[in-house]
Amino acid sequence: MSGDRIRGAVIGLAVGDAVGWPAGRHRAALHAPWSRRLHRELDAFAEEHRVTTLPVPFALNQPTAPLRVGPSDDAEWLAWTLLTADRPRAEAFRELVGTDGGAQADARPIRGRISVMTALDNLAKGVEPPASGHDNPHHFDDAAAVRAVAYGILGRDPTPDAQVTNAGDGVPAARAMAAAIQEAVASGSAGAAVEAALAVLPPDTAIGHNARLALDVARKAGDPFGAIPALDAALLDHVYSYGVGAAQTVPVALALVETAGGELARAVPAAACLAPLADSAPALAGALAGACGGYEAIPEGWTASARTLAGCCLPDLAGRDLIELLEGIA
Amino acid sequence: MITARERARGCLLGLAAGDALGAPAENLTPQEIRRRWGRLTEIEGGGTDDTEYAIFAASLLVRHGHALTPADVAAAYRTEIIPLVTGPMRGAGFSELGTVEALRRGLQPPLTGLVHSHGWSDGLAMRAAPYGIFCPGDPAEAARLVEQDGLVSGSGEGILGGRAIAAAVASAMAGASPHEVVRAALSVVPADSWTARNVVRACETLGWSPPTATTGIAAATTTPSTELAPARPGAGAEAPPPSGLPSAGAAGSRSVESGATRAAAGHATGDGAEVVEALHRAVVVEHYPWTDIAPEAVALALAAFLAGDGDVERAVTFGVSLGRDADTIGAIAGAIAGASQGERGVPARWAARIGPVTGKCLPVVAGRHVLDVADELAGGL
Repeated sequence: MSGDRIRGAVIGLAVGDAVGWPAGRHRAALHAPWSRRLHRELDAFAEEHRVTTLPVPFALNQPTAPLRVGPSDDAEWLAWTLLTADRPRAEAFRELVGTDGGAQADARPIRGRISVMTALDNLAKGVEPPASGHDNPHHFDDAAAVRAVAYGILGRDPTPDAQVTNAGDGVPAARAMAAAIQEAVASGSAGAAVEAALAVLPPDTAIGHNARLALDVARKAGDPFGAIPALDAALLDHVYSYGVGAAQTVPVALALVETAGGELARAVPAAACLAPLADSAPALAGALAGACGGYEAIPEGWTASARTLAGCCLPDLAGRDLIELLEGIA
Repeated sequence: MITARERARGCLLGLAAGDALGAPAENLTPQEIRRRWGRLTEIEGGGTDDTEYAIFAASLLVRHGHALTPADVAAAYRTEIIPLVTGPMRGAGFSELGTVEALRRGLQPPLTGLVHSHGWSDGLAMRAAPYGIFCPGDPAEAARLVEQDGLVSGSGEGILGGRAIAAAVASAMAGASPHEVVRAALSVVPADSWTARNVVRACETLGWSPPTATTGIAAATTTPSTELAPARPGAGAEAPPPSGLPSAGAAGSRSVESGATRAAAGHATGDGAEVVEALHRAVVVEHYPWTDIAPEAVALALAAFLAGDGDVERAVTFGVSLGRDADTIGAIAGAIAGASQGERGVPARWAARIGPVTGKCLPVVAGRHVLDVADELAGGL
């Protein structure tokens, strides 16, 4: 096991998380609520006045640090998973909202995907895993796939964790990410990592079908950036974009990392070009490519920007340093 | 004795009426519905996708009968729906749009229902009634048939929702009691499913613990949740619906006052507001911005049917008062109650508002009237 490649997986995910445009939106959660209300009003203003100068997160009488390039939701959920991996999973999730369950859910400003927030509601109602992840409108999203990076690093089965928040494609997505990360940490080979992922993605599922389709499309293009329009045409849901659907984000990450030969600096920027998937496809691609190439291969400016958590989704993690957090693991 | 033709006409008329009545209440909160209308009892405008897709489903049954396959359904999408979609596909839900996109990409069922991730959409449940009409007294066959349709555009819980409603209508077509109808719905879905859990929770909110399927249903692959079988006083007993529920047609109600059911329903008051809130707490998903989730709509519609004690007007007006996907909840409750009561059970003032559909969602069915469609289905029995 390579400590450099373990650090690469975690920092790679944080870099990819920071690269996507949604990171600024997530990090603006650290600002006062009225500041985000102004943002919504500016959106309405732009629509009303037909101006193409779209509002982006801003800091009026608020700290500017959250708006610097930096990691957001996915890096925080991965760090939380590493910190709690030894705890029974439903228990670990319950502790996020306190022992009183739903009544306290609103008292602490935890943020998470629809699958996670619904699972927390289910747990509060006494709906245990796997039903907590199954009776869930976003059971197919990639929340568990992001957390599965931790299980890939630790060489453990991500399924018990995944089933708290996900079902359907969301669970094999987690298994695929864990398998790919474990292989990449062991061998550094992008091709072998992708093979390990495919081995746990049944072809008759949407995610299994899409993973093979994405790989075909990207191989034909021969280059990650060049593959983006073809991936958009073949894979993206233009009817309703969930953004974080595991059947889109995981296949895109696998295809771009393989086509980039495991190079983070080629795979991650390409993933960020698929705007509808930019919340998590760059993060997943960053974790895989980071594991392949190792921490030392990540551009220094990016590691400096990405290693400190903001606490925008999990406030207890504000200020935590990912490299320090990995001491004893990597 | 109500004939099969009368039940078929009542079913689709009830569906169209519930769809039209609920249309202006869709996605409103129960509080907002009460503020605007008190009880919404009068149809204001036309129906929506529920009625048009049900007519389309019926046309598949008239042509293919019990031999219907997903390939037949996919072929019908390709020849009768997709060519007429030029520009926006109006009035369609995300699952239908996603299915059209998947078919355009050359995919075959069941992938067409899997790739768009809206597998749990209530789009199949909203059009399941014709399958029940076609299989009177045979809930299992109704469930099998509707699944052929569902495999093209849905997956998982969306298919289970369609199965439950087709089975409920098939049971109502044979004159079953409201509790028997709900039992039939539960008999065709695994006990370990979101649909079964929600239907049980909704029934328990109304003071009745129905039995769930134990064997013979598609594999139950997950561990049953332990919260599902609370020991409740009178569990499994034929408790009447809670009193003080839907009051629009209270005359003739078979409900009786019952302390136990009043308690279970959260001390229901005369306007049913507290029962509405209790049903929301039982099955409504908080953190999802849309309302078209089959396990939710199916549970609320069956609850409305039970709460109305099978009466069309009471079931539909209560269903619509729940908000959420109100037109689909109204359509489903109306279809089951209409099959139960026959055409004469649908209020004449509602029937008078139901004309031929315009084809605003599905141009291929423009000009069809649900009563003619019901006659065609009944003629094939």
